[in-house]
Amino acid sequence: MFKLSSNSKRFLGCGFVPVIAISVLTLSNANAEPAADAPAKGEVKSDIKPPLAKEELEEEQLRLATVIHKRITDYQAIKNKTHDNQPQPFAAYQEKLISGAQFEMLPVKAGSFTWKGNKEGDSLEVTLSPFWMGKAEVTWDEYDPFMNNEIPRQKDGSVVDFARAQITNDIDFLARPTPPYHPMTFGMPREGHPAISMTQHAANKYCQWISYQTGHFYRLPTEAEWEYACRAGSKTKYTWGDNPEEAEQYAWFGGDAASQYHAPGKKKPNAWGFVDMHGNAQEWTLDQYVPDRRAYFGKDKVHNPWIKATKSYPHVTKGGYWKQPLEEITADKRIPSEPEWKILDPQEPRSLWYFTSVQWIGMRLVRPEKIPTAEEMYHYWNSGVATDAEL
Amino acid sequence: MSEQNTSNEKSPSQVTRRNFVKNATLGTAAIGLTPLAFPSLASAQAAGKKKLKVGVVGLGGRGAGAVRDIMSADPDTILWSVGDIFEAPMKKIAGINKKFSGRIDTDGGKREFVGFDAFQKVIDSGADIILLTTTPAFRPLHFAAAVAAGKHVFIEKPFALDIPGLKSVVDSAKKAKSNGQSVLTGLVWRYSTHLMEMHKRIQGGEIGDVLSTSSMYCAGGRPNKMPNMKFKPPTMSDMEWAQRYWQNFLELSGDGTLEYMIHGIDRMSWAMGDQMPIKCFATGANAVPVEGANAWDTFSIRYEYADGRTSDFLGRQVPRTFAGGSDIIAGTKGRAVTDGINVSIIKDGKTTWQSKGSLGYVNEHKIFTEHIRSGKVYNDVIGQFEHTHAITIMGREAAYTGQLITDKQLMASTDQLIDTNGLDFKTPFTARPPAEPGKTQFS
Repeated sequence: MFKLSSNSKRFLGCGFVPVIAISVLTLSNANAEPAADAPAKGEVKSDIKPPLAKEELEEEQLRLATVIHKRITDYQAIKNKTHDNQPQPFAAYQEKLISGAQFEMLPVKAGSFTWKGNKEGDSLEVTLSPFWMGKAEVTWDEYDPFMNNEIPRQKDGSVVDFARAQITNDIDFLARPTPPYHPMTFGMPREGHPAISMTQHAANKYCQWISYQTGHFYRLPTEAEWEYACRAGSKTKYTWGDNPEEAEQYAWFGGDAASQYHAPGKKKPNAWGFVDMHGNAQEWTLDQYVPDRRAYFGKDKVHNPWIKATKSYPHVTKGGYWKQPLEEITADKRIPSEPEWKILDPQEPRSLWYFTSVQWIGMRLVRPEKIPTAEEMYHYWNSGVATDAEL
Repeated sequence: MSEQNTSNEKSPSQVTRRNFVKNATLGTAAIGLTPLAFPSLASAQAAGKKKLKVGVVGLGGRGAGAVRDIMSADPDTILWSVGDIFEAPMKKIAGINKKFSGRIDTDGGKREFVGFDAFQKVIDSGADIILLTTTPAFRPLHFAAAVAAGKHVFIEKPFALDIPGLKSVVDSAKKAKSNGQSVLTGLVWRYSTHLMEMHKRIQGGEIGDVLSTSSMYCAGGRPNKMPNMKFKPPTMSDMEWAQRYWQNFLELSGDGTLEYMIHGIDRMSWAMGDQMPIKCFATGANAVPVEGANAWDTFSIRYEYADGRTSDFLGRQVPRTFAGGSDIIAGTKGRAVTDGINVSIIKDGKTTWQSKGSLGYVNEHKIFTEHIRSGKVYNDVIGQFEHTHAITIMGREAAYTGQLITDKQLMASTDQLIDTNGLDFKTPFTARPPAEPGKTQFS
């Protein structure tokens, strides 16, 4: 019932079991396994606002999301079978990409925290479903093979029309950056260091690309997930408390004296094992920046909140970066993205892939425990506001 | 610039560049330039508060960027006509309309032209200003046509890839000047306000006399690198393929020297007073070659000037290598240093002045449109960017051949890289083999 791709195995760096590449044409026959995305009874609905659109989805992107969704759910079904459908421990794991690059994912159990707003009265009670989050920021070793690719592409990353017939693997149809003509490290070291200066769109597409390879669904963290994992149970300014004297043990920061980013994991992890949440590279989240979140949601308790972007700017970035003073890298600090981050780009439209003027914005991955639907995956990977209308 | 002008022509509008910079940095435009009243129809029509109609030839990323820049610089400009050799870029017009609503009027698409003859249709469409932003090889041909039609013209760099092309552009620029048409070149570092301020200080004597410069302009790869030829469909002509990946071909882009490194060489020439060096020695390589293409990616060039001063330039476009653009301008009383958009002046080991800024993409169009509106003539080709282009071609040829090249030899060159007159997708195209120093002849 499945159309097997002869070279499907090499798309999956996980090395677990051979996984099947499925033609989208066979989808209607492929419902023998229990659907991993069926809503559990009594589950609280996520607060996604505005709600995810059901119509006017881009056909090619929906097809790709469906293909990847199938790979992910099939992989999960095979793993379930291997374990006689017994629940497996929710544990840390190591992921390996086709390129050989590896990264570690740490579990974050379901829980709640108070999301403090800018002023008295706009704080929110947040509950979150379980997810894994990258122990560290994504490095150049992981990101470079995504950025440097040899298929003839349009500037939006899609394959040029005249080359489509010669491309047979779906992974090559996934939108990829146009190779930069700046090394994007701005004089800083590359190997083992955080990847930087990608747009939020590029970060989303990177998540899609590694999801295809690994058979696990990856996306950017929501703002709430990021802050929850950064706090790791703390209610203080920083994950270690309020004491500035302890900061050096946990974070790269430091005003003008700090000249560059650092390889992850040189400082102490937080209580849940995450490194460099404060400082080092500033990190993307999925959310649009809205000053008053409580007013936006219109209630004081939210579950899995995601403020879906309706315009290109601003998005929320978190954690501050290595050059900033300690006060700027607190757990609650929110830094809105802005069009000026690519002001030096002489092309129109400006690049979908690079923020050449912010040499500190990086990313960290999230994998929710529950596999989303194909349509949800589509929305996580295709923001719909990737083009700068503001510039 | 008049002191170093190689032409015999002396026009009252020629001011020294020192004055130009001084004036230009006073405000957004070089308001202090001697106003010259020209009776030409183009100037008279364009002057005043009326809408300036803009026609663009070549709506690639940079062409659409230039439209954005001029429409940002002057709120009374409208996009009037568009031309390109490909159909696909026409889709961008909707995006431009979104950003500048109410300022697009192509007569419901009737002034959107596709094909190799689109340039003439745009020029004849009734626009006041023509932006020439196609593949650079076409620039001399298109520029001559736009000037002949009495238009004000923006010419994106590089505007000439060989000496015959450069002579054509200089001739057209002179005609434009005597007819009262303004000409602006896309060498944007010159219009960057912080660099303008630094050069004003240098020309004011702040670091004494300039002794030498050392500049670099290095990228982490080639823009629009040509994919493997296996992706070229059998039905696609060699010329179409080359036009799609023009940056990779000497004949169409002039090589990375003209297409990219010219910015660094221009900053060098700025510091040296916009003169022609008398000699050039260079080395270079195709360090990471693109199969089937011929443009090099690595250059190291030494220029010697008549008074014995020297300038060194290093350019590279190799993936995963150190990149940046910088200059060290050494003077008798100190030095000026640029590193990307950061600039400073250092005397006796102390930084006496520093600044940072952005590129001049919008600023140059402010200067350009303000001149047009006030009936003054702007021209940065004569005495200025004509030299930048000649110096860059000189460096490329010195590296390609491995020979010492003098200014006299250079200017006598008759080598035309490609004839663009009547060129279309059916014109045969075979790239020259990549240069081999010691074998490749200068001609």
